[in-house]
Amino acid sequence: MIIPIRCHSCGKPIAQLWEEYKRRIAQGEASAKVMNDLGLVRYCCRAQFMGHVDLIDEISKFKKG
Amino acid sequence: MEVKLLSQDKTQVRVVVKGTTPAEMNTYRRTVLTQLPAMAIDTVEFIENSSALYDEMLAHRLGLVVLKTDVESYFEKAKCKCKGAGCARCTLDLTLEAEGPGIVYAEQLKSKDPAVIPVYGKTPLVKLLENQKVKLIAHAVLSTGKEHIKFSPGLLYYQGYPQIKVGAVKNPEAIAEMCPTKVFTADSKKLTVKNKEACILCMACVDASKGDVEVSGSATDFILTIEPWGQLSPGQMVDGCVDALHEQIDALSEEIKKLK
Repeated sequence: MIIPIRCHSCGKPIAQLWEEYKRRIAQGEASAKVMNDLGLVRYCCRAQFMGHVDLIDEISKFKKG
Repeated sequence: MEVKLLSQDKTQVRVVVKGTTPAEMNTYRRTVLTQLPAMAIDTVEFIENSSALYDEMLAHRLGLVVLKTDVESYFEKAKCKCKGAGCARCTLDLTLEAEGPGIVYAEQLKSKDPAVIPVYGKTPLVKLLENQKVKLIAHAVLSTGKEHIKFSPGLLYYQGYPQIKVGAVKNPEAIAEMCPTKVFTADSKKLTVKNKEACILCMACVDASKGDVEVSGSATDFILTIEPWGQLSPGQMVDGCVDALHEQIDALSEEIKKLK
């Protein structure tokens, strides 16, 4: 839906890193390199980024308001 | 006990602690996790929310936002003079008003106290389309990780200090190459330990050398890592941990005195 504020497992705040990650991936950088640069060391935090899909853009269209 | 600084950067502090026990290290870990007070948003009043996220979801996200904490000027609700009713000494109001289209960031939260603001301003809270609106008042309180993990100021963890014994190794290059943290160097077919403190005790070298390299973690010496999320500084975390432990020990000794 939208990137979690914190890592589900270790509690590290990660949401502020998502937009840079997304931008750099779109420019063709390797996922592992970007995550290392952003300081995502543990595999729990890395999994949050690798598995995330921004579905809020789609879902917003079908919600109230 | 002997303490030596190993490394220090923006995200973590690593120290070597010598001459202690795993029980003591674990006490520090658990105290930091559950006993240190930090601020976080606790209740949210919604005036308007036409975003795709339900009120509960947005409130949950707001709760997890890391707030810079001023431990000196706030009290925990239970210990406050207002007895939990909520006053300026224990509760802080933050307001958020945003209209789409666009992403709403944590930095748009307006705090009544300039000392307590979101640490990571670029944290996306919600994404709004055109004509979607969010208007809310959030109440932040001071509490501990025992009540909810969002109040926990960070992690403190430890591992045994690596003890590495290199025997007659047949494939030094292969072992130096496969070590995930590059602990070894292989010069002229000899395996030497170059960066001992980087060892994470994964035992990959032990398996690959079929026991010629021996690795174990010490039970008396430890590498302690302090990883703050941003509410408190690493120094404040350690000080707070010591204070919290003292308080508990004093409370225990008071109770024991009463028994006589």
